[in-house]
Amino acid sequence: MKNILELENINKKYEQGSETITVLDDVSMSVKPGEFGAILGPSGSGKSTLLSIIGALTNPTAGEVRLNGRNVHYLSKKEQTNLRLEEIGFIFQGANLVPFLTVEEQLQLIGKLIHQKNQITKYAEDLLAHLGLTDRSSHYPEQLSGGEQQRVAIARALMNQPNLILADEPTASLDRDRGKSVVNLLANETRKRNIAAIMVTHDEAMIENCDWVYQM
Amino acid sequence: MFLAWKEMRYAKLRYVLIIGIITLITALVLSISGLANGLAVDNASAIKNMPTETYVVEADDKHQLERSQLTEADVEAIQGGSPLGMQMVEITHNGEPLNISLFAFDQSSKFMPASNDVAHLEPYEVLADPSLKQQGLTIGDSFRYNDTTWTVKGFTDERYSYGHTPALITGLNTWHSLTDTYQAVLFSEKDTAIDPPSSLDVVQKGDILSNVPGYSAEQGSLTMMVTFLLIIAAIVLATFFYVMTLQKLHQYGVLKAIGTKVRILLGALFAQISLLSVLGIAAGVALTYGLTVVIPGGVPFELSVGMILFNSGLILIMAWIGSLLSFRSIVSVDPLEAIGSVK
Repeated sequence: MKNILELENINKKYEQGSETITVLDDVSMSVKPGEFGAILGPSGSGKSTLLSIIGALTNPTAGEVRLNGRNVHYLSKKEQTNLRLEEIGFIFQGANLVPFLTVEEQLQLIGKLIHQKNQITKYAEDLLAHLGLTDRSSHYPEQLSGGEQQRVAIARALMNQPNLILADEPTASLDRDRGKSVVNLLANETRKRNIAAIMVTHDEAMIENCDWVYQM
Repeated sequence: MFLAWKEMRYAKLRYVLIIGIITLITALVLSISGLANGLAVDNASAIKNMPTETYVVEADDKHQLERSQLTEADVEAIQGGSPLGMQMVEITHNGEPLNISLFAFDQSSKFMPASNDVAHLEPYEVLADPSLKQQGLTIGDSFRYNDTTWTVKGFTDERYSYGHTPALITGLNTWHSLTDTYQAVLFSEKDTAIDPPSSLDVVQKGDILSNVPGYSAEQGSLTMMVTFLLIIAAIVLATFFYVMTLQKLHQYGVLKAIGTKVRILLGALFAQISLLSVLGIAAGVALTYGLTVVIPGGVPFELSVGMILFNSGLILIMAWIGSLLSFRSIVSVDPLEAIGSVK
């Protein structure tokens, strides 16, 4: 089966004064559709940096990232923004929802950004129903629990029907049980939609449902 | 617009406060402009409303109309034009002294102020500035000046006032019996080729206006106030929006990370600022209108629609200028902000 994502000899170095700090040293991996993988490592091991390189938010010092065969870092800034909008779904630590939008509007925003206002409302309703958020749809993020917020974040990441979901410590602000249920939800959605997801985490308890684990 | 509107709906109080500030600034700018304009009308409406662009006056450093002295010979030496006589005098009306500026025009010239009340003035008959109605002057009243009894035959359609003194207007036939000097020769065209004797100067309306006693000082200080207010408006609004933008930088980073174009973020801020300004300015105009109702009649206050639009436009432009600082931070925020941090 064709790979969704390929990483080839990714290096990332920072200059700090006269010293050069190597954060990533020859990282390679390939990800197939339907795979839910984890990048596991302690704080400061460079896993967030790796995620931001995959998500076209930072350029690597050397190496290539190919998403559906396209080299992500050969694209212009504008094309990278479009790539993130159309092909990648992001889930951040602590959800990072827009505070002044209701649950429903968080999803509508993505619909407006990708110019699909009409079909999107139905899709958003289905998504919210599917994730058990229907009766929360007119609540603001501050009125939701941490687990609910993260479920909304998953719904938002799925809104643009991405090929790849990148999750940055999605369980960091949740207790273990809620964290696990969020991870399981993410894993199920990934397999059901036959897309790929990569989750960065420092918590080994979260990786039992993963198809592969990359240890930093 | 989606983001802009939803955010304002969510944080109503914050945005109502900003509208309040814009409202008060607008009301203050309009009040001071109205006062400046009112004083200008009170002080120099005779010069402003006279259809004269070019004046021939006595050569002097300061071309102050009432100080200029032209002889009959001077007037005859100038081709074309129409002579003007002007004196600031004290009349006695109902036993009370009253300061007025007495103007004399050639009644057949276009410089003669229009009046609905009377077409032609006989000797010792005058038209009066409408502000004299407040002093109790009515048509048919008589007053004493220069040991003669004069009669008010009507009021001018427009305001005529000079040096904060309301004008009485008479014809040259009356003027001849008072004095044999004139103050100026009037031309309605700009920059006409006039070759006067060396004892005379050819000056433009603006020069005469700025030499009306007190005119430059009043207008200068009020214009300075309005200018400062507009600058303050820009700075206050810039600060407000900048602080609000700084608070939201992380959120802008997240939105950029999920693929929101900078144009959309800037558009939302621009829409917010424009909408808040328009609402604030409209409320400010309404407030100023309310103020004009309660202002006592004696206060010189005049606002035209043109001035309201002009000042409103300036305030809107100032709000836009104030938002540029925030634009810069939105453009430069890195979507990387979103990764590896909780906020």
